[in-house]
Amino acid sequence: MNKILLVVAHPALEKSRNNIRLMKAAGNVENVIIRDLYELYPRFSINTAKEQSLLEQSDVIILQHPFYWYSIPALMKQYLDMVFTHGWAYGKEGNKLEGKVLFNALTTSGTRESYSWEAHNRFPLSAYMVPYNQLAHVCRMHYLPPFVLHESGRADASASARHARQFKLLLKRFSTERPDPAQFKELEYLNDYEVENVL
Amino acid sequence: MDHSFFVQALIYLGSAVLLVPLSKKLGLGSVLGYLLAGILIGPSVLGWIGNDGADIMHFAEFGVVMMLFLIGLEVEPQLLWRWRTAILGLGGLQVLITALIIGFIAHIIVGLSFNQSLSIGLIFAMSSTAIVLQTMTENNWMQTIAGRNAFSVLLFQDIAVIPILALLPLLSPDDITASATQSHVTITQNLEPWARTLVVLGAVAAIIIGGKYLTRPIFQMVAATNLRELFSATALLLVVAITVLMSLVGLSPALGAFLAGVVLANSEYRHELESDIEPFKGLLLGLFFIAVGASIDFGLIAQRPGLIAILVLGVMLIKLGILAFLSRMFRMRVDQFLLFAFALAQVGEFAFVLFSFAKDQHIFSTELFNLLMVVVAASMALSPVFMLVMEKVLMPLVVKKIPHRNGPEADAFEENNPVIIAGYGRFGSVTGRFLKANGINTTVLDANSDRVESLRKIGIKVYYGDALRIDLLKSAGADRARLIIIALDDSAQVLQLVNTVKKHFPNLHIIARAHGLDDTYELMDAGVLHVFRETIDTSLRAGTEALKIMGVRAYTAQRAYDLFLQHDEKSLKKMAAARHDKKKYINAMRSRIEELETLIQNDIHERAIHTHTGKDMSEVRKEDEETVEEED
Repeated sequence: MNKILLVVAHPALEKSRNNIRLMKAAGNVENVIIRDLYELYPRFSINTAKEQSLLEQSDVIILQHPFYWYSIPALMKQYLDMVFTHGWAYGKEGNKLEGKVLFNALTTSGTRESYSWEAHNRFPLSAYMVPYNQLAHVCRMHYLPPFVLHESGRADASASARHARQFKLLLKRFSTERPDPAQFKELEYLNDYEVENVL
Repeated sequence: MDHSFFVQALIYLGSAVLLVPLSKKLGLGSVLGYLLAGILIGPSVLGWIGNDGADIMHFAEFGVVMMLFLIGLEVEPQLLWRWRTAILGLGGLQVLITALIIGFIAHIIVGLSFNQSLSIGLIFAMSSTAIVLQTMTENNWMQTIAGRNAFSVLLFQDIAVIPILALLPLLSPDDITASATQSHVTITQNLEPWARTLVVLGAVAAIIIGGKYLTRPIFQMVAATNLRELFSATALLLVVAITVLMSLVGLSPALGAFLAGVVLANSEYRHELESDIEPFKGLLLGLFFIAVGASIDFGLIAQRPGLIAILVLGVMLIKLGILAFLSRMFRMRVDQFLLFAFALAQVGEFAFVLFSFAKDQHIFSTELFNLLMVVVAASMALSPVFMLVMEKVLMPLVVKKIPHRNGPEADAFEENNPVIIAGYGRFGSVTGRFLKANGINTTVLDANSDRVESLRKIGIKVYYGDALRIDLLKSAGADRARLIIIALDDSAQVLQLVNTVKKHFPNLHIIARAHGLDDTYELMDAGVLHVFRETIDTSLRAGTEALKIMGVRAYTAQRAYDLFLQHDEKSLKKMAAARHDKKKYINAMRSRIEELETLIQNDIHERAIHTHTGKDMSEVRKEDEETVEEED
C-alpha cells in the first residue's frame, strides 16, 4: 500500500466547487491524508516539523491548487519554502524525499487549447510546471505530469463531478500500485493516463 | 538654639541656592559651588558661621556614608569580584607608593620624625570620595574605565582607613598602654586583638546576612502600608543603623554602608531605595562641602602663603604623578588616564578624621596639625579647579571627545535595558515575557509589593516602585532606554505617566495600554502613537473562533479578524475627533459598523472571483459579456 499526501491550498475554498469536489473525492480513498493549508495555517505560520514528518511517511505527494497567475497560491509557496529545506529535502544530507512521486492537481479557467505557443496563454502548461518539475528533480523525486481541470468556471455539475471521479480512480490506483515514472514520460496530462488505462 | 537653628539653616541653604546654580551655569560643577558658598559664609569672609563648621562637617559626613550606600546599590557582588585587580592592585599600589614617597620627602627633606612622616604619608594618600564621586556622577563618568578605576582606588582607601586607625597609636610617642584616649568610643577598644577581630567580622557578617534575609520582609511589610514617607524612613533607618553599628566596632561607616548597598543591589527594592536616599545624600553632601569650605583657615594662609601654596601644590602634583604612573602601568588610554589621575589628586575628608586622631595620639603638635588641616582643605577646594583645567584645557589637546556615558566600555553599573515596563500585571507580564523570549531585556517596575515578591520568587527581575515618580524612572534608566511600555492597571495613571514621560523623557517611545474607548481617545489626544486596547485582540480572537465553529474557514475568519481590527483602528481616529459632538459621534459609530460589514463581505467575494487563472478575457467579452463567475 502506498500512502498519498494531498496538499491543498485555496484561499477561498468555500467558493470553489471544483476544488471541494476534488478534496472530497480524495477523502474517500484509503491511505490518503489531506493537508488543507489555508485552514491549518490561516496566519501563514507553518509547522515545519509536522509537515516534514507527514511528507516522510508518504509515497505520493500531490499539490492541489487553483492556477493563480500561472502559479500556486501564496500559502503553498510558503509551504514549499518552509518545509522543503536544505539538509532535509535536498543537499548533501537531504534525502528524505528521495524516490517519492510528485505532481500538481490544478484548476484553471483557461481552455486546454489556450495553453500552447500560439494561443492566448502563450506557453504549454508543462512550461508553467517547470518550477515543480525542477523542485522534484533537486529533491530526487519523480515528477509526473499535472492533473488538470480546464475551464473550471464554466464546468457544469456533471463535468465537475466527472473530473472528481477520475481523480478518485487515479488516487486509488496510485495507492495500490506504485506509479512507474517511465510510464508517464510521454504524457502531457495525468488525465490522459487515466483515460487510456482505467476507463 | 531653637530659632538660631533656623537662622543657621537659612544661611547654609541660602548660600547654596545662590552659589551652586551660578557655579553650574559657569560650568564649574556643583562641588566648587558648595565650597565657594562655604568660604563665603565662613569665618574668613562674612563670618556668618563660626567654629561650628567642624561639627557640621562631622554631621554632614553622613552624606558620604549615604553616597557609598547608593554606590553599593549599583554594584552587584559579581561586579566587585570582577574589579578585584583594580581594587587591590591599583588601590593598594596607590596607597603604598604615595605613603612611601610623601613620607620619604617629609622625613628626609622637611626633616620631620619618622613616625610623623609615616603618618602624613599614609593620610595624604587618601583621596576625597565625596568630591571624586560627586564630580564623576555629575559628568556621567562613572561608567568609564577611569571612573571605575577611580572608584576602585577609593574603595581600597576606605578599607585602608581601618588598619591606619589601628597603626596610628603605635606611632604615638606616648606610652602605648597608657594612651587609650581614642577620640571616638568603640566597644572594641578594651578587647584583646583576637576578640576585636571577631567582633569586627561579626559586624560585617551581620550586615551581609541581615541585608540578605532581614530587609526584604521588613521592606515588604512597610511597602504594604502604602505610605511613601514610611519607606523613606525605613531606608534612612537602615543607613543610620549601619553607621551606628560600624562606629561601635570601629569600622568605617562608609564601608559598612557600601557593603549593605552591594548586598541589596539585587533586591527588588533597589530603585525605590535609591530614589529615597538620593535627596538626603545630595543635601548632606552639599552641607559637607560647605563645611569644608568654611573650615579653610584663611588667616593661616595669609600668614604663610608661600609655604602653604608649595605644600598644597606639591602634595597634589606628587599624587598626580603617582596616579599617572599607575594608570600607564595599568594600560589606561590617555584620556582615561588624565581623568583618573586628576580626579584623585586631592587629599580627602578621611584626612580630617585621621589627622585629628593622630593629634590626639600626640603625633603632631597643634601648630603642625593646623597647617596640615589647611593643606587638606585647600587641596579639596582646589580639586574642582584641577578637574576644570584637565577637562577644559588638557583633554581637548589629547582627544576630541571627553569620555562620556556612551563610551564603548560602558559596564552594567546601572540598569541599561532598552525597554522599561511600567506595571507587570496581566497585561505587562505577557508583553514582558514575550520580549524576554525574544532576547530583549526589560527593566520592570511594579507598585504592588505582593506581586513583586511572588514574581521574584519565580526568578523574574521586577523592581518595586511607583513608576509615576520621575526620580524612580531615572534610576530605572529612562534617559537611556528606547521604549517604555506603560501597562499600569489604572487608566488615569497610564495617562499621567504618558504626560510625565513626554515631558521629561521626550526621546522615549511610548506603548500604552488602554482599557476602554474613553481612555483610548485621551491617549490618542495626548499624542501616543501606539495605543493598545487591552481586550480588542482577545475579543476578536474569540469572535474568530466562533466564526470557525459556525463553519467559516480559518483563513477567511482570519482575514475578517484583520480587516475588522484595521478598520476599527482607522475609524477610532474619526470617532475621537467626533466624540465631543453627540450626534456626530453616533453617526460615526453607525457608519463604522456599516462600513465593516460591506468591507468583509466584499473581501471574500473578491478573493473568489477576481484572481487570474489563465482565462482569455477578450473571449469573455466576445461571448456577450455573459456574467460567468470563475470558480477555481
